[in-house]
Amino acid sequence: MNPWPYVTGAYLLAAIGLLYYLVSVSRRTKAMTAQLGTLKRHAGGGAR
Amino acid sequence: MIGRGLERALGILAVIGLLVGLYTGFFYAPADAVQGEVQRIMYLHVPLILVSYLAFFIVFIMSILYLARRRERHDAIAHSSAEIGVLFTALAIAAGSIWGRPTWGTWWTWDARLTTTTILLLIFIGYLMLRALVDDPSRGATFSAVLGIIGFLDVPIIHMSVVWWRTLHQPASILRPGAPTVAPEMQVALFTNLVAFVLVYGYLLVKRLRLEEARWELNRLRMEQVT
Repeated sequence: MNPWPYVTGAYLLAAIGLLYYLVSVSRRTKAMTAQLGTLKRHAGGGAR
Repeated sequence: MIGRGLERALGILAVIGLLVGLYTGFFYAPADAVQGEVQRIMYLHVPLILVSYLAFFIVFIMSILYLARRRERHDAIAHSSAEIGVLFTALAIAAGSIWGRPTWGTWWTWDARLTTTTILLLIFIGYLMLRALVDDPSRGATFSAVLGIIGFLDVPIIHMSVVWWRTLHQPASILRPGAPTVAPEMQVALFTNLVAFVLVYGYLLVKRLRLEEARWELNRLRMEQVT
């Protein structure tokens, strides 16, 4: 049995999983920061 | 606040660690005498599951601290660590399943260690769902802290499962009484990969905590607008 498809498959799956999570956290943080910016602008506008 | 410098340093160290880990796992350590090249999955599978234990241990400690002191920071670390722990556990199970096919002849078996590890994964998926389902953040944090403490109790059961029950899974090679049972070159490869994955965990935790910081700030501003 050729072991390399199993070995590369396991490592690739882990790499994809970790990268996907990293991108997901970055996207969620970006969306939250954008929401924060909008709220701050509204708060600033309300104070004027 | 978490410094950007720390985040960047952890990111760089994690990438270097992973490259060194790949080198030691694929070129420095020899092929296993019995299993051959497929045993190299061990340098991925074992660090992933050990770091998931670490992640859930952090959840355990931070949950106790949250219940004792009610500080948002402890809850945020527990929440972030649980999410990363779920990721690492899922990847460890997947890597183990891929390793199982050529060595055991099956992708999956209801072996004691595999079953208790799946229970751990399900407990912490439940933990994340609980957080998402409870509207009041304070109540959600309290409920999940209790679940986080109870959930961690599965970790020693997983570790001892190969001793307490007859299993297909091999017994512990590193975290065991007495000397490790693997060759020194394999120990080096395992150790470097373990350090690399601890660094990856640290980097992901810092990134995830930045999201929590933004969430606190957003909640604070919303509360200010309401009052």
